[in-house]
Formats: sequence, structure tokens, C-alpha cells
Amino acid sequence: MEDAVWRGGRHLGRIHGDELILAGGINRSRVEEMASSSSAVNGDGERRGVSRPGEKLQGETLLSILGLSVKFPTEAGTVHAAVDVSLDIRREETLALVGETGCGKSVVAASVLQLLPSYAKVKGEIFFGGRDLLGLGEREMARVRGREISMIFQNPSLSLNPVYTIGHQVAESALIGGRASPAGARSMADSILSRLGLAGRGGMYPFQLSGGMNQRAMIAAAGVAGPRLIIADEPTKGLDQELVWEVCREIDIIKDLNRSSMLLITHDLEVARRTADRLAVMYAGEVVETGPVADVLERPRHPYSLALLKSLPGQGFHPIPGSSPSAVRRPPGCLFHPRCSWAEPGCRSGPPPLRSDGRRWWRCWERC
Amino acid sequence: MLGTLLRGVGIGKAFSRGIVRRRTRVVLEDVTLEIGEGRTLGLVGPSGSGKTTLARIVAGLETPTAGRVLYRGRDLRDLRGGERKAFRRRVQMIFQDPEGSLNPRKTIRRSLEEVLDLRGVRGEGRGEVREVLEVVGLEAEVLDRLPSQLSGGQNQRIALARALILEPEVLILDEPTSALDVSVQAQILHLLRDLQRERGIGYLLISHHPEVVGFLADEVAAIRGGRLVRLEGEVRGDLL
Repeated sequence: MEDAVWRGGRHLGRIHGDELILAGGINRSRVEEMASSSSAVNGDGERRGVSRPGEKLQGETLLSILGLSVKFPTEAGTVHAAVDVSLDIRREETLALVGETGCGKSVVAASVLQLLPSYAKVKGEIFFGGRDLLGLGEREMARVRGREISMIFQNPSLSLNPVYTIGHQVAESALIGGRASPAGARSMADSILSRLGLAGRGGMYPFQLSGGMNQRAMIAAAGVAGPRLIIADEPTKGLDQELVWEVCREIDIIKDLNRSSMLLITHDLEVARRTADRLAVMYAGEVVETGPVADVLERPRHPYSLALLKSLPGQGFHPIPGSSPSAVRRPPGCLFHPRCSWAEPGCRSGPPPLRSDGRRWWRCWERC
Repeated sequence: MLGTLLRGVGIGKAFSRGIVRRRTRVVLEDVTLEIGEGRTLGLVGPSGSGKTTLARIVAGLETPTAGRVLYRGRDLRDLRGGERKAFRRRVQMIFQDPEGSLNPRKTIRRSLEEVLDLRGVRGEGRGEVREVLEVVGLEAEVLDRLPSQLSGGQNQRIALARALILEPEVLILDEPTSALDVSVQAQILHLLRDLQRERGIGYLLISHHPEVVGFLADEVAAIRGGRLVRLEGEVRGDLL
């Protein structure tokens, strides 16, 4: 017996037997946490706190993105940057958000930190430790940033301040994070820099260090305040292969040090495979598949995930025909159908249903 | 093997720095290589090993401090007038960052037409712009856009189209897919392979991705300590 659960006009999930299966792979612990945190969700008839038998609980959920949609009105029309994105990150877990340029990965990250431009139209909920971040004011949000959620950016040479030493900049993060006195912050900075192989380099300026060292300084700055969640936005883009693995190891060090969770945004599936516990594949603003990394990469269920894997060097460079749809003029029905080898006329009929095998979720008509 | 188009013989390059205390760094030493019709020479190695310097020397954009580059048997330094023009036209280079190689203020149409101007094609010959777009797999609707309005893969196709209008014999590809998404990378690599088969263009392909080089290259070399080392199958596997 299955019943769809709707809230506010949005498909939230369905009830299957005794379980509530939520869209986007949201597990029961999130629902429980939301139920126990006073203001998180007001009851409007949905079932929650129901257990899903057979699923091992891997800690509570820290971040829960629920039905996030982000639109940008532009002269050319409305840009649908993120459409009904639902994701969960448990404590100490790394979730990799993968997909191609322009698919909306960074928009999701910017939404969590509320760093979107003011003209962005944002809908949905982003629960972090029981609070809806989208409901917080700028002042409260400023406290969350840096202290509870920190970010590692893509380009260290653009993100570090050229006129301060890296030690100063890492210490500044510790201070803002409220974890230390000015003197204590400096020694915390030195200690985390030496953990990352930059012992004695705290007095150096970004221009005196290589790109890889600057990236480590950024990672140190992101980790020094003991964040509960680290968001890394393409931390390995444009690096040499050896440096890529080095950065992955360093991010793991910081994560373990603080027992943080991580949202890793990357277009590099190999980085995701080595670093993440779970994977969410985005296409044209939507999460099309999510599940444990090994499952998704070994046996992808969504045709786009499969096509993406086949275009990898090790899989023979099979190109995906065509190009990603425009974020303004989106195809009807399944967004991937114009490029899908299994597409049938029915795939145009409407948004594809969410499917699950208990471990993962994918959106597909499965006409094949 | 078909004809040799470009040959580098004993190429050396040293950069010097400093005015009072002059320091020299040797980047390339006694490098000899050949780019033949319809063949691909792959060049691998970490950043800073001198791959791009070698490519720029072979493309005639930089002068070597030792050795010479021959285009169809003629030393680049001896090329004058028509010959020099022919070399400039027939040997084209594609860079890593397509946005950086297109003028951001010019529409795609302007960027492509100015290449036709170089060839002296006016008026009706302009129809070629559409033909070459089709070859690189783009629709005519991109013509009135600016590079900033296109994706990285589309811009790289435009850069390729610009080169193709000049009917090149040699394409020097410096990390042509490194800035692109994997699925787009696969598209561009297939396009490059098809173009080579149809037109017999010789490629010098630089990449630090072994698989990319392996996909296109007939032979692979690396620069180690400034010298060119040819890699055989099993050695390639290791290094890569």
C-alpha cells in the first residue's frame, strides 16, 4: 500500500507500509530530529518518526535540505538554478554532490550559507541542527558561517588575502569562530598548519607559497574553528593529479579532527569515490540520483549517472550526445530525455517519478 | 608513414632572470621531435616540465635558444613573406582556456568572420562560417552570442572552428580538454579524432591526463629533466 505525501503543493514522499519514504533519500532520523526540535516542522498531517526496518542508522542527520528551489529572474527569462532539491547529510558523513558545470551544485552550497545574491528567489527548507537556515536573519546567519559551517573555495589565490600572512588568516578564522583569544587563535593556527605540513610557514604570505600550499592554508582556515559542517566547492579543480590526492587527504584530516560532516561539490567522480560516503548526482538543477557512493558508481540506476560514468577516461570516453538544457528553456517531462538512449515519447509527459530500492533514489520513468 | 610536416631538431630553451646576478634555468635540452600528417604525438608530464614551452616553440610563438624548427623542411627563421604566412596559417594552436582565446567583446560571428578576412574571403564565401560550425557540432544560433553566453565546451568548439577555417595541417593542442566537464571532454576528443581521420591533420597533443593522450596519440613522449623521452606501451602504463 502506497500513499503519496504532499505538503504545500510539493511531493514530499510516500508512505509504504509502515515507512515514510521521503523524496530525496531523507532518512528517518532527520524526520525524528525535526520532530523533536520544537519549531522545525509544524504538523500538517504527515507521518513522521516512523522507522525504516533493516536500515542501519549511521548517526543523526546534521543538514537536511528539503525541496529547495532557487530561481533567478533575468532579462532572458527565469533561470531555474535548483529545482526541488532534497538532500541529507548525517553526522561525520561526507556527501558528494556531483554533476557538470552549470547543473546547480554551487547554488545548493550558496543556499546553505545564504550567500546567494539578493534577487534570487529561494523556496524550501534547509534544516541545520534543527533550525531552518532560510528563516534566520543575517546576524544569526553570520554566526553560523565560519563557526558552525565553514567553506573551502575553489581558487585559493582569489580567496586568500594577499596582504596578510597565512598564519594571520587562519588565526582570524579561529577568532571569528569564537574558539579562542587572539593569542590562543594564533597558536591554534600554527598547530593546524603544522598538521597540514605547513609547520613554520605561518609567517609567509600567499605569494610566497605554491598553489598547493595556499590550498592547504585555505583548508586549515576552514577547519580551525571546529565547524560541524564543511562545504568544499570544487577544492581540487585545476590541480595536478598528485595535488588532487593530497588535497583529498588534507580535507580528510580536517574532517576527522573536528568530526565534521562534509558537503563536497565536485565534477570529479574519482575524487567523490575516494572521499565520500554518499553521492548525489545533479543534472540541470535537479538531483537525479542519490545513494551510497559504491552503489551509484558501480551500478548507476539513472541513465544520466550511467552516461556520465561512461564518458570517463577509464570507460572509453563515450560522449553524451547533445548538451545540457538551458536553465531558462527546460525540456518538458524528464529533463534528460532529449539525450537519453532509452527515452520514449512517454518520458515527455511529466516529471519522472521518484524510485527507490531502499538504499538509493532516482528519478526516472524507466520506460526501458 | 606519411609526410613530416613539422620537425624540431636539437631544440634547447633556457630562461634567464636577474640583471645583476644572472641566473639561467634550462627548460629544454636537445629535443628532437616530428609531427607527421594524420599522426598524433602526445606529450605528457607534470606542470612546469616544459611541455607548453616546447609547444610554443614548435608553433613559432617563441624562439629556441638552441636548435631549429623546420616546417616542410624549411627553418622557421628563414621563412619570409608568403612562406611565413603559409606557416602561420597551416600551423594552429588550441589552448586550455577557450574563453581566454576568444575576444569577449566580439560575437561568435565576428570572431569567425575575422579569420575569413585573413584568408581574403568576402561576401558569399561567408557561408563557410555555417559549414564549419556544423563540422564542430554547433547550431547557427550561437553566431550572435558572446563567448560569455556559451559553455566552456561550446567555446572550445568555436576555438577549433576558428582554427579549421584556416585549413590547418598541424594543430597544436595544449590541454584542450582540461577545463571541460568529462562528458564534454569525451565529445571534443571524438571530434578531434574524426577531424584527423577526415583531413589528415597532424596533432601535437599536450595533456597531463594519460588517458586523454592515450585516446588520440600514435606515440607518446614525456619531458624529463628538459629532455624528451619516448615512452613505449608498458612504460606509458606506469608513468600514467
